Amino acid sequence: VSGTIVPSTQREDIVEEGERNFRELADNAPVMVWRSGPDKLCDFFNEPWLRFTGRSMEQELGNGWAEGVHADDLNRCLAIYIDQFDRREEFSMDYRLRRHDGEYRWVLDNGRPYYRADGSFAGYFGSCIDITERKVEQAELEEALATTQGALREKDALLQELQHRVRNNFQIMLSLISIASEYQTDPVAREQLQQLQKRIHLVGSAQRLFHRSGAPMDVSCREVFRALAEALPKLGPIQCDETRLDVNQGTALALLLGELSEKGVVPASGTYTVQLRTVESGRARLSISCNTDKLRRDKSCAAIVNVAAGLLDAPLVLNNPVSIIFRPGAAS
Amino acid sequence: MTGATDVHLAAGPHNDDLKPSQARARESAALQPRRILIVEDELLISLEAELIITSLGHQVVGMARSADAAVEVASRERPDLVLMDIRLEGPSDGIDAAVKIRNTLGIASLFVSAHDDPQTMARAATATPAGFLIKPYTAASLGEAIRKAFTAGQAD
Repeated sequence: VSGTIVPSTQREDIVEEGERNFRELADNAPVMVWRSGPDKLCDFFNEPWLRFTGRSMEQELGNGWAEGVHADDLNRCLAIYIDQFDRREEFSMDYRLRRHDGEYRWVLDNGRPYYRADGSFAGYFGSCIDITERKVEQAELEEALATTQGALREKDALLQELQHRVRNNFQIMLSLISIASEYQTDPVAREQLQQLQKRIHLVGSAQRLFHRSGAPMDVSCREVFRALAEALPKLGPIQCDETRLDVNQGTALALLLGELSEKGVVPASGTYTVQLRTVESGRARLSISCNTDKLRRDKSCAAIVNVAAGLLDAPLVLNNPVSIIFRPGAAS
Repeated sequence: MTGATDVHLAAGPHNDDLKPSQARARESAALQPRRILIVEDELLISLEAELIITSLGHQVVGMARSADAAVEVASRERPDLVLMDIRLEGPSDGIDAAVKIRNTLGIASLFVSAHDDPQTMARAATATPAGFLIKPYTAASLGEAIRKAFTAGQAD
């Protein structure tokens, strides 16, 4: 056996000195410190702890400390303490601890097992800090968040209600025109009413994509084409580069394609076709292969096509193909 | 920016998977005069629907403005199809009525609504509807949706 044999009285002196050093260190720590033995009972609280609770060491020892824990937190605290203690694992928990002035303060308690030099389990050390201000701030933040979320939900509900009413009113308008058309005996007038209904419906279909709750203000051109094509049976193949359109550009497409669906069909194919290509400097070229003869002769068609060009903020070439170069996206 | 691609349009209910004789039988069935119930709280919209349905050769067997009235008329008249708005007068909506009518009478509804948010669409699916037409729609698209409802065999 190597090493020096230390007499028992000297060993006790060393232990006592170690304990004194620990207590001196703990009493000067800027946090509240506690210690428990292998039997789970507390055998030490430092000065900051005793100053905080305003109680004596004797009152706190053993399970005395639990008298200061808020009744609503005590069972949870003991459960964590006992459970982690039995597993010899670290724990971190918060609870309300009564201060010397009677006010309960939130503390964060971190506990960790400690072992003797020979490796045997000796108990737990723990340190606590006052986190009341942090808790209050957190509660205020959560309340503010709940208020904001409530306001957003209300706004969303209001927006959905408005969208519903707008769409329903759109439908009432279309129904009125449809009823007038059903009872119209003059075929020309009837045709005009049906044409008017299609125009309104197309603009409504395009705008519906942009005026959705939670939807972005710009929409993929493919989505716009899909929505419009459902109402345009004579619209032939569509080829497009991925491009985002804003509500004005979507409306312009609805107007253009709507007018061409009646007037621009190419006799050979019975359809008209669309291409949307990105070109230089973030711009896009819309080309529609179609017959423009009828379009030029019909003044209302020509006027609506001009409105579409205005919405795209670019000059429109009314040849075959009809083409226009514009700047896509919500910034235009 | 991705390369150019074709925009493929969503196909509606079709008869591609059927034998020609079955497809013809369904098309023919779709053209048979049918009995339809209109459930809509806007009178102008229900009047237009009535005109369109009648012009297609079908018969309107009743009009209801609330979910309770819809269930009552459907129980009495046993229509072939219910044209169902979602927002109605009263505490229950068109989805509640459509589910009840589907479960108790086996009759499908064609939803016609301005609501197309995901939650509403998911709820509407529980009624196993014959279709969903979003407002605003045209006379032609309503006629087409009714034709498809019968052709697809959801409403018999």
